[in-house]
Amino acid sequence: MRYYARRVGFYLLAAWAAITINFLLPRLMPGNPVEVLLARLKGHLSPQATNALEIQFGLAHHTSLVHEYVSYLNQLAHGQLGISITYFPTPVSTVIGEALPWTVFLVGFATIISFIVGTLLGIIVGWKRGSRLDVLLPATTFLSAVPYFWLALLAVLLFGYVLKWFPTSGGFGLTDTIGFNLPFIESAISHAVLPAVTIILASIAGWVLSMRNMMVTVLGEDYVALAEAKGLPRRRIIMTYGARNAILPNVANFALSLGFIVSGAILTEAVFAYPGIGYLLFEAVSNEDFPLAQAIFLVITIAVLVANLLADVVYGMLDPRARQGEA
Amino acid sequence: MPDGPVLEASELTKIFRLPRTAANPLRQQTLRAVDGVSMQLFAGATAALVGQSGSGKSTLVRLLSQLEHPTSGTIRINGEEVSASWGRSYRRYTEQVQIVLQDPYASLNPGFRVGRSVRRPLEIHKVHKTRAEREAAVRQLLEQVKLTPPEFYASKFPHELSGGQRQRVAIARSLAVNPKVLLADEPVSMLDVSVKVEILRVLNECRENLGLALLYVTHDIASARWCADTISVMYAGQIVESGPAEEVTQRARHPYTQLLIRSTPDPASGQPANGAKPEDGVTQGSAPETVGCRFRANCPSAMAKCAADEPPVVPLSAGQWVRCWLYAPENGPPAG
Amino acid sequence: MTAVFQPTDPAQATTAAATPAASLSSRLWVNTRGMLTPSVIAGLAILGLFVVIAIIGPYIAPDDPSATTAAILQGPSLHHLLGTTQTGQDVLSELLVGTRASMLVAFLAGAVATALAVLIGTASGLIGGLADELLSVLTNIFLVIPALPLAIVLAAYIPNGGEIALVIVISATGWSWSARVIRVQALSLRKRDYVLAARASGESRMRLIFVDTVPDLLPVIAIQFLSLVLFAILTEAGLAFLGLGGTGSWSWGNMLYWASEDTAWSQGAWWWFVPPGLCIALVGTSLALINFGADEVLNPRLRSARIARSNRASAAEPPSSAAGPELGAGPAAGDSDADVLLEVRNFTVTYRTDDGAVRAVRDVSFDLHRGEVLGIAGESGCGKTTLAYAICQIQRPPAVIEGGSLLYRPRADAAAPVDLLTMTAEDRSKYRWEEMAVVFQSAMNSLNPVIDVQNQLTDSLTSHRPDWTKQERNARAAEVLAMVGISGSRLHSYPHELSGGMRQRVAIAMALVLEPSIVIMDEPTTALDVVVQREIIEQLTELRHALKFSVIFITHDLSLLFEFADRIAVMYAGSIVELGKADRLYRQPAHPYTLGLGTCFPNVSGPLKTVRGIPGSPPDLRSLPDACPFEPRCGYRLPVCGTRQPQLTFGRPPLHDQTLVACFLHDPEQAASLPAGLIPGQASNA
Repeated sequence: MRYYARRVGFYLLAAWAAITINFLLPRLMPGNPVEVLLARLKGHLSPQATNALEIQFGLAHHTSLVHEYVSYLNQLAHGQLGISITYFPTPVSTVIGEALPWTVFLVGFATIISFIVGTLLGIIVGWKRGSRLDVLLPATTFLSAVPYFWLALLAVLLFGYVLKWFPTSGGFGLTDTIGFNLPFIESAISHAVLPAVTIILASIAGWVLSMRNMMVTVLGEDYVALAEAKGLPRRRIIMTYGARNAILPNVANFALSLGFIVSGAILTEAVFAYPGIGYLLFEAVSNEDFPLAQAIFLVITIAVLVANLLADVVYGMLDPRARQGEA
Repeated sequence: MPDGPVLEASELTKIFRLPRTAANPLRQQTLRAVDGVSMQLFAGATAALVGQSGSGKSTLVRLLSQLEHPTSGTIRINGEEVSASWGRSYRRYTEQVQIVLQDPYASLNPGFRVGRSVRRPLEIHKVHKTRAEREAAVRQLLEQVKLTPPEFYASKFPHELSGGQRQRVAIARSLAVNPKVLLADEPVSMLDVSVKVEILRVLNECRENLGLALLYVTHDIASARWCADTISVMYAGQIVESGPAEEVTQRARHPYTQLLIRSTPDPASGQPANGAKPEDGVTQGSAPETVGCRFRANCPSAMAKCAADEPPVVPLSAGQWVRCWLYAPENGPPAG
Repeated sequence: MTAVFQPTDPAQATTAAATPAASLSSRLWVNTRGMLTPSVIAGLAILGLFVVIAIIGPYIAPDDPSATTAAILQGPSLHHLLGTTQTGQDVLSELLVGTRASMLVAFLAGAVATALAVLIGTASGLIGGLADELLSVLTNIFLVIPALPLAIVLAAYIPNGGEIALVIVISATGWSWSARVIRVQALSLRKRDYVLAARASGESRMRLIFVDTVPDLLPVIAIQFLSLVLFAILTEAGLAFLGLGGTGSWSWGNMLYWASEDTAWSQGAWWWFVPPGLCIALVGTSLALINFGADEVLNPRLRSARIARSNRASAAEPPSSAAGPELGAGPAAGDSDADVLLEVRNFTVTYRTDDGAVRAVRDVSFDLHRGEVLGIAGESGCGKTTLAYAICQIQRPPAVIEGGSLLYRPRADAAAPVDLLTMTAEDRSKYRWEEMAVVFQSAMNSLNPVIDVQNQLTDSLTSHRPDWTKQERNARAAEVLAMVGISGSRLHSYPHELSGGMRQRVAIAMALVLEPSIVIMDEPTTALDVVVQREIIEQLTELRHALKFSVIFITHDLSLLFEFADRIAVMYAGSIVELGKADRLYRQPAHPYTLGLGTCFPNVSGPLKTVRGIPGSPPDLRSLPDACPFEPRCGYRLPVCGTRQPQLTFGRPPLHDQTLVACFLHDPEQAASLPAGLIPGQASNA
């Protein structure tokens, strides 16, 4: 239990750090652009909303930093993230709330597929080390260095423009009504195919390579040699003795990998104009919508932290040493 | 040279703080790695310190070399109390007391040629004025540990040498500053059997020629018998028996020393006697709160008294002493 | 993208793969030549090419990249090799000029981020204490906060900061992983023995850090720098693609931004956005290739996988039939076949390394009799462990069984022996553990760390006794555990919860689960204290009497074998030099090496015997001359010893007729002139 308590404690600390970074950013940056923005919006905003934005971006000159910080945390605690400029005057929380399910669906699905398939491929290539399968390695290395959004551009060109198999933009057809109806689901899935394939293709190489290398390392361990000497079925040697140990670093370093996948997904969404968080961030940045951009950073960070906590729970289940508080 | 000990440790104790455990996160657990150890090293003599892993012998060596500092107790060199960790006082201490570490594969910097490793102490301690003098000294040191021709070895990197050769380099390095005391921490345990004897011989020759006080730390009581004048047996942070090498090995009094000797492979001794068989062998982890004798749980002769009180140090004949209730005067004449 | 940032954690790689003593840089010192693998060479070549383009690109660009022309959106042609953009700019010129900006930002940001990582990592690792705790928390926090979103928000606040701003943003968000890696490395360096030794020789603190420690960090820092350059190049492209890269200048990311702004794909203008992306991917690939090469040096197992690949073709077919001479004509032909359980003949195992083949086991022949303990003694590097693995046929690449045969006679009355090397895979997995089990030196490494003791005891039952119920299997597990003196409450323990002695008992219990007829033990007690070793040896003796299995007991400790083994084979430089009854080897060693080994162990009881040792050190197996390998160290050498290798044959009388020795002293032709009193093994009976 102590292991989990420590991890939760750490993620709370990390979340607090992210919030604090968010709070300090506009105050540390030279020439606060939000000030200009606020001047432009004068008259369109309620005094209350103006005050909230001033606290958020450090423009309330009459108050102390500590006071602002406390007010800021208070606003956050009530779910108030400010008002979006792009979708004026919709509150940021509403805008994000509409986009979040799309991203969770797309990125969650793509990450799980990529992790499972990539890990399995890595296990196979690692087990058959030294065989012809190793010719896959240079290709995989190349794939691992390809920018997500460039792959997305290629996908758009090939499948959208040349072959016209899939829609290249948006999350659903313009004529569909959002809801739980068949045409909408069908359209949503066909819109998600290209972005998902892009994310899977771009991220899978990482899992394959790291799993393969760990597999090769673990297969050199005495306990794997012993499992062979025991005459155990190959399946058990590969899975329980090899992969079970080889996967541990991948799970432990999940945070890092997830950070990169999420980053790639943001750009991918931007290419496909997919109605998720990433595209929203792209829009926010293009329109200098700082309340929205900062809130999205916060939401992504918290989502990644939660995913990490899940990965830690899995790690604890896989590795008895971690459970007993050695880590 | 005075007749007293060159290096004298009195009542050295080192307590480590352990990481807090899951079971008891609020209690700070401690480990008495070294517990009230006194020891004297004399010029020209070899003292052996025998103990199993976890007995605290390596910690004791680090205390004696001042790489770590005791929780309590004192170290005297030529009768003068010293405590130094960095700076000039520590450098002065290292001129007197040098150390040879266990693993010759790790104790030499892989990026330095042998000549540089051996020369460096000469530079630090400004033993010689000119470069030529230093080079000559390096040659002489390498010859002393039988690495001939010295020029050949001085230009090698450690990875080009065998384990035995590396350990000779480590010895040469430690002798560079003409120390009075050499602490050899398991100097041959990582080496091949056929090489061990040679290295111990080199150490003993250096002791003889240079009048060194040599501390030979080992887990192998048989090799201690062969190359040391006196043997101290360490168990769970304490020295439980000490005396002349032949006395301790041929007339061992402490039940632990007896067990150690019985357990050592020795084709000459015929069939070994059966010892006690606790589930996990003889545990070495010293429990911090232990009252009484540390060894009693594994001791065939344990008495009620052993659990109640710390055993006394009982002097025996010929400079031998033992820390055991069996030999306390009130228990009548020693039974051994 | 993820791969490059998931190198095996250096801490794990070193503990898992290499000898614990060998430091990172010592491996790089030794392997600077070995580092130039094909993938590293390819990586360096590609990277070099782009560096050159970055330098000369703006001078060789055919056009001004900013100059607009009327030739809009033209495909590749002679005039515009890579076509033109929406505004008629030459794509090739943009690409060539952009290379400089992209590479400049990447290398600058990589350098700044590396500097940051080195500063924080080394401070954390070398200072330790509270500073370390605070800095590692900071590092870990930056590690879990996703880098790109933070970079995007940061960059959004400085929209026109140009390259400097990009460098700051990228390095501020990318340093954390490298800092962690460097910290782990610095931490382990601080505890390294040679740093300790330097300190003990009176070295000052500053020199300790900057002369003795930091140079060893350089390889790690270099690898981290490459990783960070890759991170920078991808992040720069990402930021520029979102329009945050300062749209005034030319870089690969900016080209993609404009291509995307002007929806190049919807017009099929692939020539516009394919080249810059390809450039990014190629530079990334080159950096990744170099890093993988470094990984191979740091983790030797990855290397041997590569070597195994190049050797696979020649090692695929089973080696047995052709290599050995006629069976039964081996040196032990005098034995009655019924007594022989395992017949090893002309067994040869080779490591195929980059530096050529190392014959670790050379032409080894011996018999294992029913119910006996056969000891195999030898020093490190003599091939004894390789032999143990190869007999079990679990040798690891690059080790390959080159020749010989392993004949197993399951029952005394069985007509034909089974050749273990040529049997089918299916038969082999049935025979394994059922007939032959193995116990390794390090029980910590031979137990799977993530499954409990019971599961490791029962999984061989599951595959070999498929008709047993779960209850029966668990009962058997408890039974064998009790046999080695461990209570059933330990069934659900994991290996890390057991002490060294207990783990080794579990490993022995595991070997006995199926009651095999042969148990191979490779230094099973070497890692243990002598008291625990004694207990385990006694227990083994009891178990052997009760269960009647044969043991091949491999150790460097000849004195232990004198007590425990029935017969002993002494190995030197990959071959058996003497084989005979244990008490005979003790009283009357025939080979000068055996004689010498016997004088290496001081005795603890009785009058102190002479301890002599053997001068010199064991030979290098890579360059064995065609001579007796012991000749340089031998005090008895004859002229013939330096000219060819002696065969393992029966020693001449009065040696017992079952003693085999590979030494010309016992060859009547060579040593006829020598008086018997001068020949080891002959003197005492003469």
